[in-house]
Amino acid sequence: MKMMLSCEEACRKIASDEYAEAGRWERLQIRFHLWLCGDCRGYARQLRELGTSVRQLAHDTQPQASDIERLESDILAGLSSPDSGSDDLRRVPRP
Amino acid sequence: MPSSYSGELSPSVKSAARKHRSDSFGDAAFVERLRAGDEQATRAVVTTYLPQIVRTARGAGFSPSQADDVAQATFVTFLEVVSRFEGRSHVRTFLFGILYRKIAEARRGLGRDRRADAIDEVMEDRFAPDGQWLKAPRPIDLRVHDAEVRQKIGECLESVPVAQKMAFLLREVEELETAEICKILEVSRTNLGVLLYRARNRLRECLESQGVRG
Repeated sequence: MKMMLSCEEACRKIASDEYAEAGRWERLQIRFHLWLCGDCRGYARQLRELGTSVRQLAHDTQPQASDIERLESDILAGLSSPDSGSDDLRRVPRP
Repeated sequence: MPSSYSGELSPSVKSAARKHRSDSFGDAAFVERLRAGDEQATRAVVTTYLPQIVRTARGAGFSPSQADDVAQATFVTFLEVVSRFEGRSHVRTFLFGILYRKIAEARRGLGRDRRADAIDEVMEDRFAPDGQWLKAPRPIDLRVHDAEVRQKIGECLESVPVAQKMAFLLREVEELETAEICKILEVSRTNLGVLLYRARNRLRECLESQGVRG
């Protein structure tokens, strides 16, 4: 067992979410590396912020409740009336 | 070690550990109602997951109207096959699995995930043979309130192949657990790690190359 991970190893474990699944020893190794290495610390922070930013963007551009309702009723339309099965949603309208 | 390091790495993983909002959807009785075509149960599923499905389709690079179509197609397929749903996975897992296949179908040929990926070489070139940084990461612009930055993030996301993008979105935006994402994408944990590694680095590299203004 070695105490020091290389930067490449540390970054791989962080970017692939291995950190999250790691045991105590491996976590300690990664955290120890980050404690010593500013570049890797910066890299880890960028990845974390990247996730936060994309999450925020996705929530900001969330479809309007009214759009969702319309879509929902389109989808559910096939359910309520027994005459029109869910197949109707797929049927291409004839000209 | 400064205490601020704890939790610095993966807040999304922590929140992924949150329990499903719709725990009752996993009940055998609920699954049975779904399979039988019970309207109320079906409505509950559509109402609960439609926003997430649309959001993920948009995140995958579809325009709002395309994303609506993809979401609708996902639920149509869901309604068609739900009678065969055995409830061995959560209904959300089942639904996202359908969505993933719809997205992959629509995007076929645009970016299949190959075994070797150009991003791997880009990353190798960043490190010396002993694993130390050769080219340390430069700053990236993530000021999401800036319209130009928002657009760049969107463009960079667009350049990520489908499976990688889905892995990234399900982890970071939908905050699903590892095991569930593996089921949705039908990949092993190791494989999911590779997808996330590539997605994150591809995005980071793309944004780094854009630089930071002002």
